[in-house]
Amino acid sequence: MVQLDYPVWLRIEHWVNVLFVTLLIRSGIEILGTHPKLYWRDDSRPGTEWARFTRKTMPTDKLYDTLDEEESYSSIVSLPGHKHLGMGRHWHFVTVMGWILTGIVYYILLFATGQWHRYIPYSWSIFSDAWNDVLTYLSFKLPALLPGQPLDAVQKLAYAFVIFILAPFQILTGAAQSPAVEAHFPWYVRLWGGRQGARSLHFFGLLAFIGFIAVHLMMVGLWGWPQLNALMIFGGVRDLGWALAASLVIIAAIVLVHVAATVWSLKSPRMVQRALGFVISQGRLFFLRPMASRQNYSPSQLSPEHRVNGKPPDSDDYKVMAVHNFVSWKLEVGGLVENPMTFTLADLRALGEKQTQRVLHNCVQGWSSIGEWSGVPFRNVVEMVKPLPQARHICFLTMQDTGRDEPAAEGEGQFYEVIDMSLARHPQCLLAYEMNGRPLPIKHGAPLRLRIENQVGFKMAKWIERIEFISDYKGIGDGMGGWREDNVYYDKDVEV
Amino acid sequence: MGTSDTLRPEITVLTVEHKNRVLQQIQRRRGTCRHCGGEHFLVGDALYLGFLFISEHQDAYMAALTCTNPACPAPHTGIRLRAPEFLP
Repeated sequence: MVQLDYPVWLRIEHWVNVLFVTLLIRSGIEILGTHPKLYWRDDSRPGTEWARFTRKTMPTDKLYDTLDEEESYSSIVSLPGHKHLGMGRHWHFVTVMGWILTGIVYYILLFATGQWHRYIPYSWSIFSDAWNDVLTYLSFKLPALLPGQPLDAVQKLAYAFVIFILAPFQILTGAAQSPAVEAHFPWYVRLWGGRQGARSLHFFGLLAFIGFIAVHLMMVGLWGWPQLNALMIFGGVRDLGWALAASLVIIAAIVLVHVAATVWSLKSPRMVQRALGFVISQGRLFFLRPMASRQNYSPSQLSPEHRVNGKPPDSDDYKVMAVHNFVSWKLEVGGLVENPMTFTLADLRALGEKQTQRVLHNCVQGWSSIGEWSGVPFRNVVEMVKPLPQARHICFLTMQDTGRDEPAAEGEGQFYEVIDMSLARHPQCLLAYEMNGRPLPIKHGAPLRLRIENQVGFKMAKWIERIEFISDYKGIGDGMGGWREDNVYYDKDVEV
Repeated sequence: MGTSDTLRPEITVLTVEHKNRVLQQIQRRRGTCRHCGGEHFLVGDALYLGFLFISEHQDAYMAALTCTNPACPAPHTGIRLRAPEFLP
């Protein structure tokens, strides 16, 4: 076969890949730390995790939520570390966009230039050769390279596995964790054994990448660090001293990018949120926003105990309303509408036939549960109040005072969330007053909560008291489109 | 008290005996309606607060009270009780 060289594009792709994969690993660990437990079943029931990366134990006599379970990891292993899920998500998603684009270019060039010969085996005998290579390595010797190729058999198989199996596997299992993808293609998430199956498999992919990188570095060291780095930097075995120096400079540059990303995220999270969030939002809105939910899980799939995020309003007014079954509660719907209205719970129940949906709930932290929600399709309320043409967003104001009710969360003030008008008309956008056939429990948002099934859970405001149609959300809170966006730097649009 | 599909899952249904104990507690505390100053109430069911709310004692409940003064602007109110005060 033709002796394969190391063209410039291959060398650039290699080093860009190192940067992207390491950023993905660290930001992935940040995301894992926010719910440091892995499950196989979609109910994420406490105690059923097959792996846990926390020593925290939760109380049994007091309501706890998943914010209490969050872990703070060191910046050495996670980006940026110290319990900054919003930042971790931004880095993970912006990096994955870059990684996928790099991968597409890499695949095209690989096949366009014949470089695919480097990785794709031609014969089944490569497996027996690879086994022999493993035995050779175990006897502390270096095996022979494949004829005319720069790799031995086990190396060739390892590269083929990473490039053609592991990388796509991580992208596919990552996509299976997007609430929009899950909501629009419920069969796709089932393909991976469910939401938690996909999350667990994604974690195994992470381990595989870490294992590959460790072995790869060891192999480069064994076979000759200066020689192999010369190939991957200069395209040929020459100037070995310079190759060694250049490899160290490149690695230092990659470390510097990590340090800069970490420091920037910890010191100026708002700037990171705006800059990276802008890039990510373009992809989200283009690819994922059109994915309306069409889920309908069977009653047998409902989670026996649906997990909770957020604690109920700890005020006497709320408790008095609750003990009277919320008969005195009123929902005000106003703002930029022709016909402002006020609804009691009885009014909402009387608004035509209630809609019921059995759906998968995706928390931003990674856990999931399946619940049945019933209530008023939000589009019905929208039609009744008649939004004015300038109304572009909808703000849901709740009775939760986060400083008082949610000590585990960063920030204070009334909890609110903003959604775009386009989401309000999605068929499974629901104002829910029932859960699993009973009145909506207090811990899940009684008397009324929002359900938007192609979004992450925190957008689905609970304990709602007012809905406001608005033209802009810049003047509300810190102007980022919601309490979590303001305080923990999440994105406003969370289809993933 | 509601039917099984309208009764809130967190509500503890009170018997007549429980309700009488709640009334005794109101009398003992000289409780009045915070909206109209009325002294007479109908007792409803109770909400267990201890598990759901972070500021509450473990055995805290709120019993539903309805002020019987027809002129009361907000007759729905409640009284916070510890379990031994009204649940045998």
